Formats: sequence, C-alpha cells, structure tokens
Amino acid sequence: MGRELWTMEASSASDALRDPRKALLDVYNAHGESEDFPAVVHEHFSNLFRTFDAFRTIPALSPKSPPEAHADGALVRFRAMVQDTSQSPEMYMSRLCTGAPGGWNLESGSDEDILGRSDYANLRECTVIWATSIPGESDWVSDVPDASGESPEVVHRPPRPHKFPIPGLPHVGAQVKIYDTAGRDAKPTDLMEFVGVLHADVLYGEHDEPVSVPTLHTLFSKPVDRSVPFRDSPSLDNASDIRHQLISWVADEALAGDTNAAEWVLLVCMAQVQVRQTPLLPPSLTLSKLPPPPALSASPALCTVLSLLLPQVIKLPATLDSLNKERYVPESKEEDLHSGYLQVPAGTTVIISEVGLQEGKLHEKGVANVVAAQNAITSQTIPYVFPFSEFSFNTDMNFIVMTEGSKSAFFKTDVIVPVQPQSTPNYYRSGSDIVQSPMLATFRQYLHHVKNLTVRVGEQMSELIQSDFVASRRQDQSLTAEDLILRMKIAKLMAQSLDLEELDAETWHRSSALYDRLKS
Amino acid sequence: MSLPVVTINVSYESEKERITEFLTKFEGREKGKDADVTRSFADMAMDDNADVSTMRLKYMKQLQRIANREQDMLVVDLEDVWEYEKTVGELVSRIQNNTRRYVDLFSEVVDALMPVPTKDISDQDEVIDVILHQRRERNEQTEGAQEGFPNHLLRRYNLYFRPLRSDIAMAVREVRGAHLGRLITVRGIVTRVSEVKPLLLVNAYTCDVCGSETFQDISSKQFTPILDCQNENECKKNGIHGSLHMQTRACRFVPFQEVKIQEMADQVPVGHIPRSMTIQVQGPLTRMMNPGDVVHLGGIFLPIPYTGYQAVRAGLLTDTYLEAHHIHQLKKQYDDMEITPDMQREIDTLQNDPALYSKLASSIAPEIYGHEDVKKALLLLLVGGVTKTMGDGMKIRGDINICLMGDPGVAKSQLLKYISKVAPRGVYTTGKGSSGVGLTAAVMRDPVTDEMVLEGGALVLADNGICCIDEFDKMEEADRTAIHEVMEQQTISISKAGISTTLNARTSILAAANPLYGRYNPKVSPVENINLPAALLSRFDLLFLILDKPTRDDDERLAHHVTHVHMYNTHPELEHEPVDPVTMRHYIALARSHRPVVPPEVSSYVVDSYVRLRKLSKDEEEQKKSHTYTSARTLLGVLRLSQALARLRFSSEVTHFEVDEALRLMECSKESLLDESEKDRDPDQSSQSKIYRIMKEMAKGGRGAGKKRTTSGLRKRLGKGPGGERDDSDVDMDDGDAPSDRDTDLEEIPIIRIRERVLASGFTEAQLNDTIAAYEDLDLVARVANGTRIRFVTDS
Repeated sequence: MGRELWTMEASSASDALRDPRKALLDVYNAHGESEDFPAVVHEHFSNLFRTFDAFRTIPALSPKSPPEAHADGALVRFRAMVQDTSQSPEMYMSRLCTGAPGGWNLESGSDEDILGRSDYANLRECTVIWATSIPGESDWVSDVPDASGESPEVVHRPPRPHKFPIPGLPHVGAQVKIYDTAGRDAKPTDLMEFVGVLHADVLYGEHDEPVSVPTLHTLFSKPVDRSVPFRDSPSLDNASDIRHQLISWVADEALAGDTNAAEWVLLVCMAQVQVRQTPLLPPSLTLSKLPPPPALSASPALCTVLSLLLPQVIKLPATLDSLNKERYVPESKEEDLHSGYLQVPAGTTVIISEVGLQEGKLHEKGVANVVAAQNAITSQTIPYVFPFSEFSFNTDMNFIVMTEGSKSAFFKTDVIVPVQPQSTPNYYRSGSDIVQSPMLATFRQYLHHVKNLTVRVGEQMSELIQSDFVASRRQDQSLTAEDLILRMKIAKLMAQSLDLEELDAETWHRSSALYDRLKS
Repeated sequence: MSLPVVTINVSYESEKERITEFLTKFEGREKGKDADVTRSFADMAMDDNADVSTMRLKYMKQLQRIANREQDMLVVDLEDVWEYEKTVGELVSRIQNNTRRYVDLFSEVVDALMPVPTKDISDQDEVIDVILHQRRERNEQTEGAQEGFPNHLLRRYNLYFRPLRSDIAMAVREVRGAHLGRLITVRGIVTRVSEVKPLLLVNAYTCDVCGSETFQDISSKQFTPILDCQNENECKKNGIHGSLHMQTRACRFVPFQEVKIQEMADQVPVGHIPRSMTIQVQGPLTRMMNPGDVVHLGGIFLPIPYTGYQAVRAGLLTDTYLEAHHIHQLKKQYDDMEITPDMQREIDTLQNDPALYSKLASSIAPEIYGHEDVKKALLLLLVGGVTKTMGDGMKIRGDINICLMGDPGVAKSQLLKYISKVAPRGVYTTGKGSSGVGLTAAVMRDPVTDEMVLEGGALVLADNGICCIDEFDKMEEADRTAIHEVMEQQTISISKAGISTTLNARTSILAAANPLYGRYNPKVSPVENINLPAALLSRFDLLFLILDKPTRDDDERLAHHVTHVHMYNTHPELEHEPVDPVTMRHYIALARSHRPVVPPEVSSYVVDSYVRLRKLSKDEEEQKKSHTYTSARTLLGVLRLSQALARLRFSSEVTHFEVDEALRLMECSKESLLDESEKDRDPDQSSQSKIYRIMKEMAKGGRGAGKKRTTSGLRKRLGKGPGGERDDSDVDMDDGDAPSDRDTDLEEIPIIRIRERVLASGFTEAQLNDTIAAYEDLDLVARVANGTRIRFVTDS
C-alpha cells in the first residue's frame, strides 16, 4: 500500500515535471471550487516534491542553466535572493468567463474580450518581486548534480543587471510572481527556493525600452536550508582537533603559515548577530601589513579559501576606482531599486580588499560608500536610499578588511591583526594553486555547526570577568567598556569554536591571552 | 480580497432624486466650523461671505457661482451628506463604494440644477460658447434638430468628493483589490511630480463639406479619431465621407498631472521596502503637491488596463492608480499632534508621578548609562523656555541651547540622535557632513522648474524644533558665523544670487564637540581644550563636559552591566520603566503649551542669585580660576531653565524651587569643567545635605507665607551638614548667625509633602530616608506624629 502510494506520487511528480500546465489544470479541476485555490496549489505541489530526492529532480535555474536552457513553460526551481519587493501587487482574473482558471500564465493567449466578459469579482492579487541568484554563493553549496560540467555555449546575458549586487558576475535574475500570498511575506535579502513555471514576460521601466525578463510563476516556495549539504554526514566529534587542522590549513593555503591570523579569521567568520537592541554584534577584523599585490587584478587567496569553506563569500574591492564608481548600497531610481554590493543575504562573509590602493581623490559617492560600509561594519545595518527618505535594513554579515598599511585607510574595525608570514608569502596565489584538503567536507560541517551554537555565561564566570576587568582597569586607565565587550565577544566565540555550551575559565584565559597578544 | 459585488437593488433614478434633494436643501453649517474647507480649497466666494455667520444652501450658492464662472470646482463633502441623511449606511456608503458612478450621478443632477447666470458673463465667452450659440440659432431655423452636446463639454466645473473626516489614512501596502472603485484615503510622501499636461476630454471636429461640428467624448487614455462626418442631415444622408478636421479651440481640455507617492518610514514593516502608488490629479487639484510633501490623499482607487504593447503581453492583468479627489497637506509640529484618550490617561498618570522629573530624564536614551544631569538638561531643552515678543518687536529667545563636550566614545552622538528623534521637528546633522545646502541655506536651481529657489538648511528645517549638530567644532567658518545670529536672534539672513531675505530659525541648538586634541587634556585649561570662540560659547545656556574618568565603583558597575548583557542578552532592569518616546513627545507637547510667568518674589530671588554669581565670577577671575563668564546671558539662561521646569509641572508660575534646580544645573555644568582636584574644595555637595536644604526651605516657605519675605531671608537657604560643616561655601561667613534665629520658630511639615518635593527634585526615596535618619542622629530634625511629620529642632 505504502509502496503503491509512493510510486503514484513519483509518477505524478514526473508528470508535473513533463507538463506543469496540465498538472495545474488537473488540480484546478479537482479543487477549483476552493476558496483559496493558490493555497491548494502550494499544498499540492510542495507535497509532491516533499522528499529531498524528488526535489532534486526539478531542473534548477542558475547561471549554469540560464532561462534560455529551459523550455517556455517548464517547471524549474530557483534558489534565489529576494532583491526587490517594492512593486505593487498585480491583479489577475482568477476565473475566466469560460470557466477556465487564470493565473500562473494559464490565461495567456485568451482574447481581450474574454477579460471584458469575465466577472470582475474574480480579480485576485499576486505578489510580484524581483529575485536574483544568491550573490557570492559558493559552488559546493549547490546540490545540482553537475550534469554537463561545461558552461553552456551561449553566455547568458541577464536582463536588468543593475538588480544584482555584484556587477559583472554571471547570475540569473527573474521576476517572481507569488500567488499564494497568505503569511509568506518575502523581505529583501531573504533566501528562498522558488518552484514554478518559467515564462518570458515583458517589463516596463519608467522611461527605457521594455525588456523581456524571465518570469517564474510560483507553485510553491520554501526558505533555503543551509544544512542540506550535511544531512547525511555523521555528527562531529573532537571539535578541537578539527579546529586545529582547519586553522593550519587556512594558514598554509592563504596566510603564509600564520596560524594566529588564521585563528582570528575563523573566530570572526563564526560570529552572528546575537541581540540587536542591546547590541551584541559580530566583531570585525582587519588583516594589516599585507605585501602589495603582484598585479592590480590579483585578489587575495583568502577569498578563495573561505569560499571553499563558507556558503556565501563576497569580495568588496575598496580601491579608489570602485569606491568612486560602484554602488555599495541599494538605491531606488526612477521607481526601480538598484542593487549594491552590500545588499547580500544574512550570513555572508564580506572580504573588503583594500590592497592595491593608489593615491587619488575620493569623490562624494566614494565618501558615501565608505560611510555605508563602515556603518554596516559597526552597526550591521544597510541603508536603502529612496527619494526623500532612507530606510535602514538589518543585516548579519562578517567583515574582514585586508590592507597593506598598519591599519585600514577607510574602515575602523574591532580587531587589527598584522600578518606575520612564517613561510614564503602566498597571499595572492591563484585559486588553482590551492591544495584542497581531504577534510573539506568536515571543515564545512564544523563551521556550519559552530556558527549556530549559543554560548552561555554563568554567574561565576561573570563574577570572575568583572573582577578581572576592575583589576586591569586599575592598572591601565585607557581600558573602556568597549574593550570588555569585545573581550567577552571573543571569549564566547572561542567557546563556540571549541564546541562548548558554556564559557569556562580556561577558555576565558585562552581568549584573553589571544587578545593580549594583539595589544602588545 | 475579491472585489465587492455591487448590489444592483439601487435605482439610479431614485438616487438622483435624493441627490437633488440634498443639493437643493442642504444648509451649510456655521462659517467658523467650515473654516478649513475655505482654506484648503481657496474657495474665493466663500471669503466674500466671511462676515455672514451662517451659510444658507451651501451647494446652491456654489452652483450659482459656477454658473457665473467664478468657481471651477464643486466639492461635495461627505460629512455634509452624512449630516443631511443622518446616516452613513445609505447614500454615504454608496458613494464611498461606487464613487465613479456617483460622480456622474452628481454631475448629471448638477447639470439639471444649474441656474442661469445672474450677471453678464459674455466677457468670458469661449469658442465653444460661440458654437453653442450658433447651433441654437440654426436649430430654431431648421426642423431636424441636431443632437445635443456631450455633457462634458458644457460642464464648467470639476466635481470632487471629500472623504469623511473619520476615514483612516491607509498605507500604500494596505490598499488591496477590495478597494477598487472605492473612495479611500492614503497617506504618503510625494516623491515625483510630473509636468502638468492638458488632457483631452472632448474632441471637436468640423466637417469640410457641411461645416457641422462633431464632438467625441474621450474617456480613456487612447482614442481613435473619427474620420467621417456624423451629420445625419447632410453628409450621412448623402453618403458623403466628408473629411473631419480637429478644432483644438473647441475641444475641452483639463489640466492633468501624474504624481507618485511612497510610504512613510512609520508605515513600512521592519525589513520591508516601501511601496509607491501612482496618483492622477486633474483640474484645479493639479500643482498642489510638490516632491517631499507629506499628504493625505482622498481618491478613487481604479484599475487601468495596460495599453499598447504591454497589453499584448500582460493578457488579463491590470495596473492600478488613485484618482485624487482631496489633498490634505500634513504639517508635523507640536500644535498639530492629536491626543487620543489613551494618551491623555497616560499623561495624567505621568503628571501625578512625584518622580516625574527624574523619570522623564532617565527615559532619554535609556540605553546610555549614567549622565543624569546631562539628561535632565536635555529634557529641559526639549521642553524649552517661553519666547517673549516685546511691544517694540524685540524678541527674547525661549529656546535653550546646550553644548556637550567630551572625549570620543562617551555616547554624545547617541544622545543627540535620540533627541532629534523625540523632538517633532528634530534635525540631526554634523558640522561638516552636510553637503550642498549646509547648515543655513543655499540658493539652488530647481531641477524641475529651472528656477532659482531658496533651499533651507538644517537650521531652517528645524524651525520651531531642535537642531542637533554633531562635530560642532569642525564646522565650516561660514556656518559658524551664521550660527551666532541663529542662537540669539533666531533668524538667518541670506544674501545670495540676488535673493536677500531673512528666514526664521527659531530653533534650539544641541551641539556636541570633541576637545581640540581628540582627547581631553587635563593638563591644560578647559578653555584651551575647547576649540570654540568665547562669543559662541556664551550663547549656550549650558555646557557639559563629559569625561571618561575611571573610578572603582563605576568600573564595577560598568563591568557588571556588560557581563549582564552577555549573560542574558538584555539590559539590566532600569530603576524606572522608561517612558516611551511617543508618550514623551505628547507630554512635552502639552508642557510646551503652558506659559509660566515669574512672580515678583521669585524674580527678586533670581536677581539675588545673579548678583551672587557675578560676584563669585569676579572673585574667580581675580584668582585666575575662571573658565566661564557670568553675564546677562546667564541670567536669562537661569530664567529659561526654570520656566522649562515649571512647564514640566504644567504650572503657570515659576517657584523658587525651580530656580534652585536651574541654578544647580548651571552649577553642575560649570563643575564638569573643573578638574577633579579643584572639585574637592567643595566638600559638602552630598545628596543628604541637598535634601536637608530642600526640607528646610519648605519649612520656611510654609511659615513665610504669612510674613513678608525679605530678600536676605531668601538668600539664606542654608543648613548645616551632618558633620557640622558649612554646606554652602558660596555664602559669606557673616550670614552664619542669621539662620539659627530663624530656625527657632520652624514648624512641622508632613513627610508626604517633603517626599513629593524631594522626588520632584530628582532624588530617590532611599536617599530621603537616609537623610532623615542622619539628621535625626544629629538631633536637627525629629519625626513626630508616628513618623508622618518632620519637626525641625531648634538649636539655640
């Protein structure tokens, strides 16, 4: 019986894959009378592709398989970042006078007079948003079986490239129509998996030429789950061992054997926003005293190494040229929200690369960009610029600034670590030179695990920390509350990295020692 | 979510009868109540009748004026319909639900009712009148009368509905499909305004062959021009396809404007992007909105099918817009705030709270620890003193200016930002950051109209509010000069690009500055640390120096605070539940409506204190210890602060307790400038002796009411500290024996009153109990009547 049901489901899933339009019509014929038909559709199709394996069979919409690679009306899934929700909901005729359903592009091709004759009481709303592929998402996160392995012949040229945060990167942007609007309000930078029917649609800007954009008529959607790659892995043991190996691997591959700097990088990367009102925000890090890059285009090897480990990493070039020209924060122009580097989802690690900075003048836009980035570093908020107003959006990112000087020219961070090469400096080696560790999968799982840990601070520890602080402040009057806050943040991160649930005295002293080493 | 289904059991004929009845019978209300209608619609003719207190037949009068071509819009106020019908269920709700149809119905009724002009209007004749006249004449001559004109062509008015006052203004995102066709009110900020263009309502043609005119009603954005002559009698009968020519002068156009509004920050849920909406404005309502205006818009939410190429793709989808019927510009000031009954209750309980003063003060930026006196001063800044205009036009400023100085990282900026948020017209800016317009004003070229316009800077924008300027020391030289004028005269004079004017800048200034060398250097004098000219400094009523000085107690408290945050992810409980900013704002708005005066006996007390301060400052100057200068400005400052304190109590009179608190704040601000070592010379500033002083003052006050107050008696607000030492070093030694003989006939005072007064001065209950206990031990006071009253023991 159970088996029969399973095969039935599997076959209807493949039916839906073959002809989503027919599958939708079938659902309509069965449940068309329902008050809330979009909810029925959501329910039906998310059940159909409930299991991981079934879900995987849906072709993905991604830079590797762009809209052109799919047939019109194909069922696809789109793992995406919500970029713009400012568009007003759209009205569609949910039932035509012929009795046929509307929505999901089903009504396309109908005559105009059918609209005229249809009952206006059947007008329904659908939410229209703009979504892009996830900026800075690492290759290993993708669960698409690399079918061909080679890139498609035609390079996909995404329409409306200004809607993607990172200029020049291959990506897919699409208009997403959500029919089941109950309770699932998408916010900008949310990560969602949209499953729906792909069509091309024409979009009108305020002044420019109409552009044809891929449009996804959503059947169902669910939030992106970052734990999927680790679902079959056994739980980790001996965290401190993995930690040690991870640090030395990062140090060897990207930091010329400097384990101290590597430890800092790891601690900073595992931080998350704890509370916002009070604020307990992730600490930021500057790696200073880097050697100048061999070529202007060279990018730090750390970017590559971290993107092998973390799900989302972006590189923010902080050279005069890009500061003066690029957009760092989203800005609404002509009723259209243009994206900026910092409009990236929570959990992204941002590497601000200041290496290769030359003398020159910072213009007004550059100053605004520096202010915005500094604001993001210190308060974890990103301003979205609208005419006559600015809206502040919360974010949760980790920042690492890389600079040649003893401190960053533009940005103030909580911690500054000068790099101390132990071997030949390899800070700018190219991605292909990096030796991939056999432990990579374990490292990824470890980082995913510790990032989501919460560390408690017990009553006794708090007493100890208080007396520590009072004592050290008697010796050194320049200590401030910020110092103490930072020390505690680092101690908690240290405990996190050791897979501890509660901060203990040993970890406190260990992290204090790490911190003091920096000061001396 | 779906569209409302229109119930068709309404007969439009009977509706028209009702409308006719309403229009002909409705009598306007009292002129006074209708004042805002007059204002907002610039209803000229209503002004003519300004002296008539009661208006009769409001709408019929207007129709007459329309017939006389003196008025071009007719606003039907739904309030009037409601008043006439005595119910919202019937006509009112039908208008609300099916507005477009009722505009037509009303217009038809108005057309039928339109009276003949009562005066000669031939001087205003247009082409269409000539055509009309000619056709009338011809119709009389020939038999087969030609069909009439489209109604639109003859209408010389635009009919608008004004929504009910009780309509709640919605956010753009709340407008749903269910609102299609309904009269709704939307709030937002205008972001874009198109040029005003003519919109064709009726197209007129003449025929080449027969010369007759053809009219075409245009109801949508697009239309197909008529090519063949429609004249039944000539061309059609003869089968001639006469070619038509468009007659622009006989067409009817209406001004048309497209406006975009966007949601305001308070309407957008956290983490969402603001939505915007297209507004179409026609006729006399055009040119009433500018980008940046905050407006309430009443209008009909309508669908509009996509046109052209878009329609081919969009299939059965439609776009939506709001057809504006009523525009209400919002102003955001203290006077315009509306108090809800809930808020009133909250304010009442607040007002009766004896610890009101310290409670409100500690609610300012509650996340910042300590700095009680600074916060108290900021509270007074929010409340402000009373601005006075003398008979000769001279003005005395009531706004309080405060400057915060101090090391980087002592939360100055946070205090500033909080204040700029709480104040209804708060502007936050930095001395250097503001580009273009700057702090004062600039003459700019308007990008839309290409005209030179005067654009106000932060100081002008904060008129009647508070301007918070961070990095005050790094201000541009030009701005700094202008600020001198702002701070005393409260105006800004501009003479640029041929524009010479004086703008109002009645603003309080809250400034924050860093010491000259980044960090405060205790080795050199404060004046050298402060990088600001003395003339500017003296314009600040209060100047606080906030330094980060380590002490063991503070360190422990701080460490505890930080670890607590890490342990429980939240702040430790505060002594008072902080008053939320909205309540605070309302309380302050109410407080600002009071205008306390200084009674004669208090003013002489102030004068005495001033004289004492002058003397003191002279002494200090001789000893070269002075860092500030006591001038007439100080005197005004004390008055302003005491007025603000009286306002907090909603009182109409300043008492000398308030003057004391004002002096204390002044003293605090001065003290913050002194070195720690210097501070030590003033040993008895403990809260105990201060409370004791208050108690004694009260005892004297209670008794003194009967006697005539002498100046010398007032000056002796002294007592003896627990250690027997003098607790007010400011007073000459010779006065020493005076208090004791006055003390002899001190009376008992109820402890309840003491408590009230002491808490109002910002002390805590525990401090009061400690004081009483300590002074009891010294046999200076005694608790009597079961501890409900305090008796002062004579110490002869």
